[in-house]
Amino acid sequence: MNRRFLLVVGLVVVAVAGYAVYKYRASAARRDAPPEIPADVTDPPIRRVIEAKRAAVVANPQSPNAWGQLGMAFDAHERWDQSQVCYERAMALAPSDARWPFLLAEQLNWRRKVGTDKEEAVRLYRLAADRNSPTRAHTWVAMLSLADLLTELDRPDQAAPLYEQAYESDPTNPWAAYRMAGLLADRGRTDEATRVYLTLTRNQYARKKTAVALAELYRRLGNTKEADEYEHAVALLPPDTPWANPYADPVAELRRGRAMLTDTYFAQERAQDVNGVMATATTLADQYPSVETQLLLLRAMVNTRDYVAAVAVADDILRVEPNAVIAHSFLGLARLGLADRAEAEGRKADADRLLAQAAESLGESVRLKPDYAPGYLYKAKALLRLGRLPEAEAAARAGVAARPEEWEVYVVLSDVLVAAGRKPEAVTAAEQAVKLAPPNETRAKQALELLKK
Amino acid sequence: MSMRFSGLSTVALAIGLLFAISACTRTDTPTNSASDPLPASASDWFEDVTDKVGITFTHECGPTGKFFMPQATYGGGAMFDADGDGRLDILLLQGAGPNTGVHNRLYLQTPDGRFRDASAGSGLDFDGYNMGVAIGDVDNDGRPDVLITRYTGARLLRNEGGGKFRDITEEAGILNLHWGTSAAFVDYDRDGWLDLIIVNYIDYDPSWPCTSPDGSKDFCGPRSFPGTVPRLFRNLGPGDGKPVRFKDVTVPAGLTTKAAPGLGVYAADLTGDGWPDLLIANDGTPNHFWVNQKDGTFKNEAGSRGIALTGTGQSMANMGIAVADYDGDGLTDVFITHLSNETHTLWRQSPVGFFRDKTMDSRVTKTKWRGTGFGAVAADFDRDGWPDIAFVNGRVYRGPEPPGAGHLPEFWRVYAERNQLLRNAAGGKFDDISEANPVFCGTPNVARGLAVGDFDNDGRPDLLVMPISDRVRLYRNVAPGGHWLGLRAIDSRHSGRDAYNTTVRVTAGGRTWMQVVQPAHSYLCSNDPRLLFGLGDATTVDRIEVTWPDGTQERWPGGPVDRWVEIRPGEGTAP
Repeated sequence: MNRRFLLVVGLVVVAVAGYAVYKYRASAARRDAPPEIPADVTDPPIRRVIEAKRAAVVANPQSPNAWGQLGMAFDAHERWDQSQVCYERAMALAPSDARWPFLLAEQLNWRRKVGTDKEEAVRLYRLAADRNSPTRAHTWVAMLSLADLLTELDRPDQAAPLYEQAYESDPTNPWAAYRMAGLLADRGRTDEATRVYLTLTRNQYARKKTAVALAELYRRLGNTKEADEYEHAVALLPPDTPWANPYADPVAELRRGRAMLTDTYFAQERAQDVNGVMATATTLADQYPSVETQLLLLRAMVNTRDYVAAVAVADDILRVEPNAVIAHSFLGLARLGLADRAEAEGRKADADRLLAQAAESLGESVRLKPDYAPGYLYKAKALLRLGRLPEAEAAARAGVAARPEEWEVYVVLSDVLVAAGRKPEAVTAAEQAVKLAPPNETRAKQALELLKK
Repeated sequence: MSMRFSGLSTVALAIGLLFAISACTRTDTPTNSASDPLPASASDWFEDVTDKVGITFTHECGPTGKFFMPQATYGGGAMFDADGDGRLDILLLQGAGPNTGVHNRLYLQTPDGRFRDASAGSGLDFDGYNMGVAIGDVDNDGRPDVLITRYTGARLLRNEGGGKFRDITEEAGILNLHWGTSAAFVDYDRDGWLDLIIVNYIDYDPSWPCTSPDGSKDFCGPRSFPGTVPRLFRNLGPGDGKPVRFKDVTVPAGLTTKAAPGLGVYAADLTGDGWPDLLIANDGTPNHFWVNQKDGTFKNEAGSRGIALTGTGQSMANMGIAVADYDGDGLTDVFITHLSNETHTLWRQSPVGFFRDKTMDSRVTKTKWRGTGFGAVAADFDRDGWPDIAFVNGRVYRGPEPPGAGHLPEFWRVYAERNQLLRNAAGGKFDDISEANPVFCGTPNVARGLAVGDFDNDGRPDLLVMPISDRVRLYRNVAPGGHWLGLRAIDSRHSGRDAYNTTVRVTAGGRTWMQVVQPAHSYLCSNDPRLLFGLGDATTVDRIEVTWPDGTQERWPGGPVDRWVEIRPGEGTAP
């Protein structure tokens, strides 16, 4: 009996041990297996970069850097679930590396959908701030990110010391300076706050939010004039460049695909990098042929004055999408540009023909979209140059009706009225253009001055 | 070994194997997402009475597949007394497009609490890309008129009585060529005639194809196109043989300094000087707060007054606006809905005319799930003396199809999300009670418009939800709760229309509540113009204090709770 009992117990122990070993090995296999690439990732450059990073993990599943790189590749393409797994694995393999808790905190803070993730983000930012960072800049970014999140979570008492520490360490850090100024303002130390804010009014990372802060500061003090000036600046300034973040740069560098190229296109356009825009647009159109990418290419061509190519691309688009308003509009602009060249070369007949074609294309754009003010504006210009004044006036007035807030349509209307010999009305239109134009816009003022001479 | 022993060892091994197999089967903890349906609960604040009252309206947005952007932003409606019988009626907008025969519908409430379809011949029964609605008596004849915004254009319908309306758009001088969204009537110059603000969205080009990051077609986002400016129309009163005349004063009023993609509007005094201001929620760009300069012009002071951006300096996708004195300090606070990967923002007003982002402090982010919020309303649903917030959700980009969305057309299922309800626990701190309210919050929908009004006059604010391509739902408030006072401010000097921009303070049980008469809030909707005050445990009203739109002040004595009262200028006493 005892022997049997012992044998049974022994078998049970073996079974349990076998199960435990099986579980451990299964767990280790799962832990070492990188996440699969989701099936809906179909863009080839994106798949390639993720596959390459994934292969590195498969080759060396104990490498924290390989896991981290794969996490960043998923992160760059908004695959949060997969990148979270990778970052967590990298963290486990390299507990002293600040990169992985920081990047995971960023995800939880900015991109996840459940409120409690913010608390976990606080914990991870603290870890990142305390761990080994590649540079001091990395450390400050982790601290300031933590402080910002604590501020957002309405814990100013925890955030303030971090801001003070960062600012004391480097007063030229715009992020630290902006937050320090905010602290000073909250504490009623208005003069000091203003002094710090004023150091940021030309800083690309902070000028717009500084203008907001100064507008509010002056408004609360009852300094209406200064408040209005800064409020006006807020309306005119472009969005601030995001705070410099050395953790995020490697992630951005892994970004591929159509969305990346499209974002690059618009960023280059905002920066007026015409050559860059043209190169990106060409790549987009080659790699992702579609009406959308062709339209972006058309726009780039017109902006870089490659009018002949623009006409060809516009014709291609309109063959497929005859109702594409932008295509008609840019075709008109390209023809206007070619008309300018013809005129400069003394080819009047060609110029007139091109102007008439431009008017036709732009007319089609407003036929398709009756509130399309740019279409009316350029149509009026083309007709004015052709001497077709009644039609030009009708187009200009339609532009005014569509966009009475746009100063340029009044300039065109003024030009048409001058050509028609109706100077008083032209002056009225030019005065309206000046009223509506931004303060640094000189064309409207120059047009009015010429008229009054 | 014996057979019995072999059997025992086999059993031991088998048990071990069974454990191993079952342990390998991982059971994921169910994620409580905005899409999972909820079980029924006994503590619901609302019951769905849509069928019971006879509302059979299903919104239609037209053929899908071309991702025509207005389809993702429809639609609005109104709760107002269209025929002057003292009962709230309902106007619902259709967006299937022109020449489709899919018409807006007017439901008139009958004495038995049901609604009859009175659309045919009402003048409101037209098709088109109808977006939002504003209600206001533009000719001071005591009958509320209707302004409907559209994807390009707007229509003004004059109330002729008996549930009949006549289109006077052109003769009245209303011309809005842009994509109109929310609108509001407001007497911004305090001349006794209701003026009109129409918020416009983007300069949309339907021929521009938009794609998701993965390259598949989807609806365009607002950043694909430039913003536009709102349109302000000043009511000139009757003249030149016309009963209604408006003049576009957008440019001279100064509202053109910055185009933006406007979606929501709230038009009332927010700076404490008695002159109505204009708060516009802009999608993805800073909000605009046009402060009335009292000379016919406005200045945008959103940045300097703290309501342009969130507290972290970001522009969110601002959509619906819900206003109330959430913290009981006598000042109007503002809650605006955003996308699901953002957090809705609550700005507290303090001091007068200045706002601070108090989102975290208010706990409005401590929700079980997040959705892309549109229509939002504030009302004291449980009458405990603290205004609560209800808002409706629905994605603007495709996501996974949630359980419970099968009732929707297949195209829209991947945009569906559940609505949410936040209870003000006191002092402007909220608790998410969505899970306990499956009637309003349980079924995923692609909701946009949300209107609030007490359609059965029982002192409990009810909700009207307007989703895309789905049945409109009327939810009757059945929440147990405290006492209440309902109030209608009637401007008897102007034929008895509702006195917009009247500020009312009710004092009871040691507390004072403040509300302003302005039915245009939320998103694309016009709400019940009357005011409902939740009074908690107070058993009598101590006094009612009113500041009329022209600045004059009057006081009324208190009285019983749980009733409706009407107040008119000259019937009170000087303070």
